[in-house]
Formats: sequence, C-alpha cells, structure tokens
Amino acid sequence: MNTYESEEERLRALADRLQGLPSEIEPERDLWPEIAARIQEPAPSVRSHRNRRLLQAAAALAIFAGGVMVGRGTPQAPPAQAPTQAPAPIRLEPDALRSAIEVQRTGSEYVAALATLRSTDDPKVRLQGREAALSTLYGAARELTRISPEDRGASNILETVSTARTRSPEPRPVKF
Amino acid sequence: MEPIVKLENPSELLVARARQRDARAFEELYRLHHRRVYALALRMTGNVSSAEEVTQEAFVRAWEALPSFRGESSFSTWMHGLTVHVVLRHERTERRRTARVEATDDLGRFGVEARGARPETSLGLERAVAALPEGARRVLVLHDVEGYRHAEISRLLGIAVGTVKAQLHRARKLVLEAVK
Repeated sequence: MNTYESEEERLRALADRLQGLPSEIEPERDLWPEIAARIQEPAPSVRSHRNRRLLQAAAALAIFAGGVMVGRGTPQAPPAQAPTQAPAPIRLEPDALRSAIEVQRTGSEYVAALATLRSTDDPKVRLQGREAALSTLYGAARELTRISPEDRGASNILETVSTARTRSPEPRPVKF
Repeated sequence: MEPIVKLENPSELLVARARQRDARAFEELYRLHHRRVYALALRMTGNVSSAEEVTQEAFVRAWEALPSFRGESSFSTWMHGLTVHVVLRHERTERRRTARVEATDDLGRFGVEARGARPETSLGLERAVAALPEGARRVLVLHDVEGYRHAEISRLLGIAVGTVKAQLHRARKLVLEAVK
C-alpha cells in the first residue's frame, strides 16, 4: 500500500469514527429551570407598554418631586464650581430632609401600588386605577408648579397629565 | 391496552400542546431533545459554558417560534437547524465581546458524559475535534458528524463551497495528526 492509499484509508476510517460519535450528550447540570423562568416571562403588550409609560411618568415625577424638595431645603447654593471638582455634598435642614425622604418614600409606594394593577385583567379595576393614578399625578404636578413656577418641566408634566385625564384610555379605532 | 391512536413520533402531540403555550408539554420536549441539542452545541462551540448557554437560548427561541412551526420537518430537525443558527450567532457575539477562552478542562467531560460512548476510543477524537480552529471545527462537525452537505454548510456559514471543502480537508488532516 502506498502513502496516498494509506492516507485515503485513514481519512475513511476517521469519517467512520466521526459518524459513530454519540449523537446525545447529557449536560452536567439541569438547564431547564433557567429556560422555564425565561419562557414564563410575560410578553410585552400594547397595554403593558402604556402602563410602563404611566409608571415611568410616575417614577419621574416622584424623583423630580424628591429633587425639588431637596432643592428647597438646600441653603443658598454656592456659585458655579469648576467642572473638574466633585460636587459638594448637599446639606439639608432636618425638616427639609425629612420631607424629601417622605416624598421619596411615598413616591416609591405610589409606583409599587400602580405596579400591582398590572396583575389584574379586570378592565373596571384598571380604569379606576388609571383614574386614581392620574389624579394623584395631577395633584403632585400642580404642587410642583406652585413650588417652582418657573420650572418648565413641571409645567409640561402638569399639562400632559391634565390632557391625559380628559382622554379615553382606549383610543384604538375599531377595525371592521 | 393498546392506544387507539398511535403516534409515530411522541414529539408530535407534545409539539401540538406546546404550540398552545403548554409549558409542561414543552418541558417534555426539552427532556426528549436536550441531549441532542447539547451535543451539537458542545461540539460546535468547544466548551461547556457556551454549550449550556446555547442550549438554553435554543429552547427559549424554540418556545417563541413554536406558533409558526408548521411541522413540515420533524421537531428534531427543526430544533437542530435552530441550534446551529444560535451557535453561529452566539459565537459572533462572543468574538465581539471577548477573546475566545480555551477551556481545555471542559473537554475531559466529553467521554464520560456521552451516552453510549466508548470513552477509550471517542475521548481522544472529541478532544482533537474540540481543539480545532473555530472555522475548521464548525465545518467538520456539521459535515462529518451531523451529515450536512457542502452546499448547506456554505449557506449556513456564509462562505463559498470551495472554502467549506478546504476547511474540511484541513480539519480532517489536523484531527488525524492529533489522534495518530
């Protein structure tokens, strides 16, 4: 047998051995629990998208409110600092600090309460929840504009929430 | 008692149920097919952690895509093709993210875990395949182990048929050298 034939033989033998490799291998750990967790995540829907926007608005408002309260309690802010310097820690009057913490806490509770609405499929409950949420947002936005009337962001929030309250929650047209 | 309706493939009923979002049926499908998917992923990626990730990703994708599965091929064939795509995508991402980790320790698990394997003969071969350069390994696994044709591999990997043949020849030579 010459070298060429010998290599041909060896390649053929290799091919046979490769085809004979086991087609199944057991993973060393159970991979299913992670798959199960991933496939049970709810798919995002139009409704949840709308809710998410509402929640984002609520969260933004709560954070904004916290920020405004913190700002109110800050003694006269120093003039602009050099950009390379780290910002000086904010020192709050005890009452202002308590208020800011309270705003943050109630803001979180508000968002958490809203989040529970996602678990219900009852349209009536959702509608009531939406109305309550918007009323709260509206009240908070109005307070914000009183606290800082020159703040355009606060005015925009008030305007947006005010418009949302007057609109129907289901604006989708009926298709025939 | 004999069942009234005999299913040639037990996956058929499970697929039908899983398409209706029955997660337990899908778990049964996983239990039936995961070893096959994992073997393909392990050989194509060459390391255990990537193979685990690919296996999980492939089944998550299968769950998402099941409603559009028309049953023109068997679930096993469909799952196989899907796994190859997931492997290729995974490797593209990995390449971008980090340099490839050579997990030589992982290779020792081939022989012991392979169902029906003869460790004394297949372990060396599995090691040699896993040690191949990425491109050569993919072509060899797809052609010589999984039975894909040159043209199919060319389409899957986006390379010319001539390149597939050259890679295959190179891979075989390297494996032969390694197991000599």
